[in-house]
Amino acid sequence: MRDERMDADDPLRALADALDVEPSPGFGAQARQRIDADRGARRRTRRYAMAIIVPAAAIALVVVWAAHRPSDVQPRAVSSHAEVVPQSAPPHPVAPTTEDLAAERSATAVVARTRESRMRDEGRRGSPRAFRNESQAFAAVPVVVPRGQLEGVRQLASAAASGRVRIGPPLADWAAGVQPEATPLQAPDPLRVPALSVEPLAN
Amino acid sequence: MRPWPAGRVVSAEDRVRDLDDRLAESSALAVRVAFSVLRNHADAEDVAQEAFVRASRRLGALRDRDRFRAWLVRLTWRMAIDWQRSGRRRGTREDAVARLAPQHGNAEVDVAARERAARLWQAIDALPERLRLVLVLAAIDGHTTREVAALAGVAEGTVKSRLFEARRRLQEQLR
Repeated sequence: MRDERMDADDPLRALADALDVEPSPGFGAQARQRIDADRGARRRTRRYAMAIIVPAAAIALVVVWAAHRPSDVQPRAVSSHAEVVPQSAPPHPVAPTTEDLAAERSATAVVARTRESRMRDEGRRGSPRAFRNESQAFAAVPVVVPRGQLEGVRQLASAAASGRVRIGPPLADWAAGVQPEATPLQAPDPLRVPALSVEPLAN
Repeated sequence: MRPWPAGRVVSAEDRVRDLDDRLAESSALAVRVAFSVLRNHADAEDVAQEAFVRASRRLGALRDRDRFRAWLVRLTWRMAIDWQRSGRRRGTREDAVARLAPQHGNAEVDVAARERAARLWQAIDALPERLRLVLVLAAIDGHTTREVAALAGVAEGTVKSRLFEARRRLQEQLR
């Protein structure tokens, strides 16, 4: 501010003299050392952060992916209407192989034998009251149909025809209306069986 | 301006040299700005070095050397004030009084000079920060109004009015 310099008793002049300090000789070298140390520390921090963040992010991604992975079966609670969960893949257009059927059978918990059928097997007969009770209980017996497989219902009907299991009228009527050669695609609404409790199989 | 032309690949040696150049040309300025707040040489150097450390992190963004100096000045000023408030001062502020009132051997004269120096610093401390920064920058290195404006990041007219106001207040207090 030499162009606006004040006279000798101006405080600015005194201040200028007081502030005329010089850095000590080692100032630059010390500053340099601190800058280098700071850079090293920041580099290390970055490296550690990457070592922690990258695996953590990968794990988080896997967890999120696993949590949102599309599932083949979306279980639904079905009460009065039989409803089978839609398949993620379209039904197989050709007849299932023996292995498919075996796998299906193993995956199908066929209707538990009713008490009446057990009694019949054992040569006993229940009282009318007991039979009525069992008939009421019958409607609540869960029928487990393999995922989208008409074949499973056919087997159920077949088992009922052979007397091994008993099925209620709605399913029996429905099963009777299904043409033996019908494929799941051709059958009229094959997977909707009223008045039966049907649960889709868990995966 | 930046010593490297656009598009040139800058080597690590270039960066080191550039930083050294900036250290050499701005060290005194940073130390003086810090000293104006802390009034202690060791503390002022500490703060100035810390300011350089922080400035070095932003070298890429502060290519223009004039902008770098202005940024460094304001950073140093701010850090010095924070340093002073945080109670990290290692020494007393006697350094500054002693610089204004060097010992002459005559006890009476020395005491009077020290009192005057102490009053001056008190008056400077009493100034609002915006006036104090302009006053200090004007006192350092004989900066012109334009240079002070560039360093403080304000308009030239603002510098003039602030300087006028600072001097008026100082003279009032020292009267």
